[in-house]
Amino acid sequence: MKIKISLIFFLFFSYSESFSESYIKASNGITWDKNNMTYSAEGNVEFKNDEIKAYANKMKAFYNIENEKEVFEIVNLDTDVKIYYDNEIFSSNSATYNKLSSLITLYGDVSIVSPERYLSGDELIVDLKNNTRTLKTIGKESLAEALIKDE
Amino acid sequence: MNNFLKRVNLNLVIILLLLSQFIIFYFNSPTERTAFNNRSDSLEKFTTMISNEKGVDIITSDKMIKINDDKTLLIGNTSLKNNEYKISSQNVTVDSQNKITSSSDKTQTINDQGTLKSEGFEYDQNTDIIKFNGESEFYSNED
Repeated sequence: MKIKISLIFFLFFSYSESFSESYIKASNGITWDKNNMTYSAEGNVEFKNDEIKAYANKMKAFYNIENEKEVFEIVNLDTDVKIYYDNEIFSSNSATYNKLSSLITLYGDVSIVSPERYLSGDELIVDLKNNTRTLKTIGKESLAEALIKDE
Repeated sequence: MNNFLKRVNLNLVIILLLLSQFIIFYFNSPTERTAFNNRSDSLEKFTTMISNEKGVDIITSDKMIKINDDKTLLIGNTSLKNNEYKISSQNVTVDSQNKITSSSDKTQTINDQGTLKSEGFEYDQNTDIIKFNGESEFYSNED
C-alpha cells in the first residue's frame, strides 16, 4: 500500500515537473511585439524558465518558436538584477541571459553569493554548460580576472 | 339591365381595389418613416468580421455603441480574435482614427504559446504592438 501511494506521489510530481512553465510577471505592464518576437516588462519584473529565476526592474526577452512553443532565448535584465541558479545568487546592475550559449553575463556591481563563497567585481560571466564563473575587476590601471570552476 | 349591373359591379370592385391600395399606401408610409427616424447607433450582442492582409479579425461584444465616425465603444464582455491570439476584456474603446484599441479593465490574452493576464491593454495597429497595462503575468507552456 505504501509503495502504491509513493508511486502515485512520484508520478504526480514527475508530471508537474514535466509541465513546468516559463513565466514573466511585472507590476507596470508587459509589451508584446509580435514582429520582433519580444516581450518587454517593467516594474518588479520576475522571469522564470527551466534554468533560472531572475528579478529586475526592466526586462526584454527575445523568444523563438520551437515545436509550436515559445522559448525565451535571450533575456536582457536591467536595474537591481538578481538571478537565482541552483544554490547561487548573482546580483548586478544589468545582465544578459543567453539560453542558446548557456551564458549569463552580468555587468556593474556584480556579486556571487553561494553557501561556499561571496565574491564581488565588475563583470561576471557564468558558463552554465561548463560550470565556470569568470569574474573581472577593473581598476584604474589593472585588471584582475578569476576563473572559478566547481567540480 | 344585366349588363348595366355587371358594369356597375365591376366599377365598384375597381374602386374598392384602388381604395384598398390607397389605404395600404397611407398606413405603410408612416411606419417606414418611423423606422428610419429610430435608426440606432448601438447594437446588442454585436459580432463583426474584419478582413485584412493578415487574415480575419472577429470582434464580439455584449453591446456596441458608435460614438462618432472615429470612436466606437464595445460595452460588456468583449473579445478580439484572429489567427494569432484572442484578447478577452471588457469595455473596449476602438479609435479608428489613431488605430488604437484599448481597455482599462481586466484582460486575458491567449496565444498559441501561452496566456497573458493584465489590468488592461492597448493595441496599436500601426506598430502591431500590444501593451498590457498594470500588474501583468505571462505564462508560457515551454516544456
